[in-house]
Amino acid sequence: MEQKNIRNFCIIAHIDHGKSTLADRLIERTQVVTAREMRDQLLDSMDLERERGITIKAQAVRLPYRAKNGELYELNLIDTPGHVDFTYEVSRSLAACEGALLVVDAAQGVEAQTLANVYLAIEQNLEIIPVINKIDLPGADPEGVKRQIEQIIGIDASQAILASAKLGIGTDEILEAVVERVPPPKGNPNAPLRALIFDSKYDSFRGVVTYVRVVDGSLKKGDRIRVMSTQADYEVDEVGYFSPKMVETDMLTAGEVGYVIASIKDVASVRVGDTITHDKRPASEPLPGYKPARPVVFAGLYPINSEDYDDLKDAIEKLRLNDSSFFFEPETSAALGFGFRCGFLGLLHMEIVQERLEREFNLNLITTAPNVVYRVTKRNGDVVFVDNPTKMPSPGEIDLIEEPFIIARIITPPQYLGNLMQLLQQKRGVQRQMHYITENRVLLEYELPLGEVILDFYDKLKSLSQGYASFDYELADYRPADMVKLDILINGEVVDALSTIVHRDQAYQRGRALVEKLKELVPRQLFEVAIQAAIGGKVLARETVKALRKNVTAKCYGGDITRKRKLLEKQKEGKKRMKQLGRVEIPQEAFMAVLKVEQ
Amino acid sequence: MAQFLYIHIPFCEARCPYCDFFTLGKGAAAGALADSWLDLVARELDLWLAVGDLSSSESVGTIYFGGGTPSLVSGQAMQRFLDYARSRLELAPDVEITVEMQPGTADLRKLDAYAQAGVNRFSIGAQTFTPELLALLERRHSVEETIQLIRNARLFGALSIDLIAALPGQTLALWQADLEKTLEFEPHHISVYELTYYDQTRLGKWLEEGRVRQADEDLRLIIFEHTIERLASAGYEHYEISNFARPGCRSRHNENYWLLGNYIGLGAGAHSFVYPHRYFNPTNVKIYEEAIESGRLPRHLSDTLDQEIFLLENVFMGLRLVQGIHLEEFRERFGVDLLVQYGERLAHLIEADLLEVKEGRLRLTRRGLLRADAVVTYLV
Repeated sequence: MEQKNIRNFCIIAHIDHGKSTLADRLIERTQVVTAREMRDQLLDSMDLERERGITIKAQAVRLPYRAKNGELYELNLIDTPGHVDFTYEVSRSLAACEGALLVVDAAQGVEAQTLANVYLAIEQNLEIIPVINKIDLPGADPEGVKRQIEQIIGIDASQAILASAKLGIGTDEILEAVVERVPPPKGNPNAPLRALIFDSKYDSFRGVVTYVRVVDGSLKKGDRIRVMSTQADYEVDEVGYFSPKMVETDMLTAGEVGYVIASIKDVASVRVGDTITHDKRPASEPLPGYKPARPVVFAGLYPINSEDYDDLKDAIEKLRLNDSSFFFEPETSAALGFGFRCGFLGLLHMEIVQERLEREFNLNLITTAPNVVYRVTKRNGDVVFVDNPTKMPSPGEIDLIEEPFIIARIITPPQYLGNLMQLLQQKRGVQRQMHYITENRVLLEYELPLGEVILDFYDKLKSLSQGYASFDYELADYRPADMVKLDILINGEVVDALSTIVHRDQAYQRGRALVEKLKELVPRQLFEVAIQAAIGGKVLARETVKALRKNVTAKCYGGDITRKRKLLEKQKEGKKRMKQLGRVEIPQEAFMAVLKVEQ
Repeated sequence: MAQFLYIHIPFCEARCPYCDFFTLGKGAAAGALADSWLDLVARELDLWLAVGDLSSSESVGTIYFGGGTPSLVSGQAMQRFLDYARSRLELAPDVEITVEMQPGTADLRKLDAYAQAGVNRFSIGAQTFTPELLALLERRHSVEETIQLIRNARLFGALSIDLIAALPGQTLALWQADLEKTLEFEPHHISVYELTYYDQTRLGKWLEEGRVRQADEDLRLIIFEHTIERLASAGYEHYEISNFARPGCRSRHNENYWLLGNYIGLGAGAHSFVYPHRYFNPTNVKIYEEAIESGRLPRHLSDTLDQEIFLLENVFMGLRLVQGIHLEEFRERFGVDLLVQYGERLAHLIEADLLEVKEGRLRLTRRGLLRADAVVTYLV
């Protein structure tokens, strides 16, 4: 396809504003899939994505489209995630495009995630086409939303397309606008190859499938290619595009989006954001790199049954093939044995990884309480980054602890301001600005410790605002903080996997709440379980789970044994989700207790 | 080796609210049903002989009629069945033949007929001697009828009395009164069952709805402790978690379950153990009858595929006996040395004074007896 007839675009939106439904309509309209294949939210292919109604991984699909001017166009639609945790994935997808559809819900208006994504798109110099969706809703206010787009985002909304993806209204106008307003790609098809890796996935039959946007040159089967950062060479087995299934093609040329399968075994060698070139005629400069995905939330992942360690290792490595933003390294816990310290983009990302490991690989896992990375300056001048509470140097060695801060943006109807500001204050937030966007929408900007946000902040925010407040953040800097390590002792032994780092002012309250929560989570058993919270050697709080005193079947004769069998089987099943600490058993959920504590 | 026979009579005049056994409330028709039932059971006996799991030459040590309400069976039907059993099987000279008796269902004449037929042990479901509590259990008899039955039955054989403890509203004093009343009759054997609230029963529903309250843990502990002490001082040996006997008067039939011996259960809903297989008969009278009529054993296998569960089922049963499990016999029968198999976990339990190893036996301590279920599940 000639470059002038290629359009690469993506859809950006706040969660639930209708991005996936719109993508479905565009695919349907261009008939790349038959009606029988058409499923709702076609691009969200992981089960988890369908269940949660969110997009986790970027997807790309080629749409052949004959425009009103009679010419045939190749539209490449790159779907993007919509959750705050996946901003990095969004930025990668955006870099492969020249334009973006900015979808805003006609009833809800601009939300925090809309802002975050649109700023990323503006940074990439994308042509932005506002689409006001859900105009069929009773509360729709398209004119008001246009004003919001102009006032808050500062882009012209006079040409905004009014649409209802659900009813298929506006689909043609959107496709025409993509053709007319999104610029064709600019690369040089005759220059040395430069292709941007914007995603990769692992297919158990095909190996590593690399998603690329060819910027300059062209790429075909049999080519010897080189990954520029590692200088590793591979031979191309297949190139193709997504329709949305993989379709093999002869060649991908400048401006096109598609996939490459080369005999790449070692996935670590295809880093997202890297540039592919030819080994014979290499490009002199790689494409501008991305920010590397930086995990900000860390937690330990352990198999409940230590014999499953190798299976977990395999599973994590496989998962990583599909999720380059996820970091892991082996670690050992006295309480939990061998496992991994894993880094995530956020809490949702963590939950998703854990769920995928359990579901797709059939593993029973313990996830320890998540924490952020602290920067610790020691008395001797060394600076260390601490991503695990157990690695926190002893208080005597520490000169300074700094914690990561974020800039949080919250958009809310004004009636919830009081509640939200109280929450933000509890979370040690500092207000930067408060600004009425319209009379019924307020933008709050706060500086907040990230560590406070990764626990229950998002749920709290939603419940205090009855779901109306939206939230997004960006990382800011490190700031000094008076942090201490809070230990939990079970029957007098520190359980390293339950240690957390908390602000000194909150330590007592957290300790108290934590032991109370643990008391609820630990079932009564044969042995008494003493649960204590302590800083250093000093006990702040204690609770006891009393031992069972009477637990015996009254009647047990011939036929009763089959009934007892169920008790034994249940126990055996339950044990798979329990961790043995000495002679007491601690359920899996207990290791996440810190997340469930009401603060 | 002796053989052990259980016969299930799944008919009652009405179901008791706490009962979760397989029984059918049949009102006035229950008696006639029970009589013809025994004829079917006799045919099932032949089917077991035919497959060789019962033997006509090995002696039968015990026969036990449970239910349901087996005392609904008439004297003639009992005679007919036991005569038939004697014609097909070799009953030991000291065979123990027990019938569970419900007060109000058997007069002197029936007891005499039972004894004539060979019954020599009566297990009487007294439950409580407190009229209000008996009413709560919706038993269809009075305390006076219970006492009458006890007095009559002891003229014809060994006497065992069943009591239910920790009833809703039962104080320690009321329980003590029940126990003292029981001792007045000087029975050979006493069973004390703490009231269990099974989910699927009416009682379980009452608990859920808050209509009754379970006795609290402290009271249940005190009742248990008191019972053991009091019965010991009256000369009863505490030989199983819920069972007490004067010397030489244990229920040999029930003891066989806890000694992990084989047994054959006849009648719908009955279970059998023919090492290493466990069987159960369907809890459906029609299906049971159809099988017998067409000459098929109604039994189904209920073996667990999980070897560890199989082992623990037996540990569960074996530890019910206060004397515990004979480790060497267990190893010979099941091929597993428990001390090796559960070494570390057993050590925890022994250290916590819940289990002990003595004279080649693994047994629960007094503390352990109170928590037997948790002790065994801890081994899982």
